[in-house]
Amino acid sequence: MKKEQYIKEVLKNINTYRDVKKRIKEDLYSRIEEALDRDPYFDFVQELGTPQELAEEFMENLTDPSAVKYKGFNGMPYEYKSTKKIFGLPLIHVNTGGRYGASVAKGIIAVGDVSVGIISIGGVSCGVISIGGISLGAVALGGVAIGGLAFGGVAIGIVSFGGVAYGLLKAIGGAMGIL
Amino acid sequence: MSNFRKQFNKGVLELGIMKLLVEQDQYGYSLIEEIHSRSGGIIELKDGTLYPILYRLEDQKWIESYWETQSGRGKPRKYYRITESGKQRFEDMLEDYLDVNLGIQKIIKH
Repeated sequence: MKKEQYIKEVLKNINTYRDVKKRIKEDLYSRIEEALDRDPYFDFVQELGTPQELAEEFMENLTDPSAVKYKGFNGMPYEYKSTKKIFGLPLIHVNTGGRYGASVAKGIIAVGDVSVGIISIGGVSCGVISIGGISLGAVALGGVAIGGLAFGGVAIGIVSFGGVAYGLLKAIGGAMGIL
Repeated sequence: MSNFRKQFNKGVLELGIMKLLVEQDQYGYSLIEEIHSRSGGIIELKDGTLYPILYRLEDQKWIESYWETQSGRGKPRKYYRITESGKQRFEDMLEDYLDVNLGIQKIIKH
């Protein structure tokens, strides 16, 4: 791996302001240049860790709240599952993969990248009451909403309201149609 | 590394770095090496720990950075130097550290 690529990977995994990233970039360049001057075969990963490891170490130590972009959520995966269960499902399940990918939340109240629940909120959401980018539910609200009662940019349902709305019984919107 | 050591390191490493900067200007790699050798290999400072400390000290105006190209070396190095307020800060920190250290030693040896 070339130093530019290594530094780019490190910076990609550090969630902070641009000016802080600029400082880190400068310092890592200077640091690696120095090491390469002394040893042309300097192995970044062996000496400094993988880009992800080094980035995590930076994130751990950038404790100044002004340096870390999001207080409490730094793009890292997060999961919360309540101990209380109803019908075998947690009452509340929050699950996000952060910047590392999509995770599924399943619960009575589910919040996640992908969510399934009675009340469901997510990027892709499925539930009795469902709110999401793409939303499927008895009552669905979203960019694209499909459901009994659908509200959305694009809404498809028995009764639908939206920019583009298709409804079995009723459709109200900019462009609408009865299926 | 244990959580205790991590927390403990945060304060004392700042003191160690400032001590080295009181003596002379340093660049990142030289700080890592100096800390390692002068601690007898006990303290291994990692890059992801060092630079955030330097940023905090710089933001507080206790140190400042500059680029310098040394003769015989084409590429510039980023150096850090201590400011006047940084020197005063170091004296205060050192006094605090020695006080607390003495107190803790008395507790442990009691």
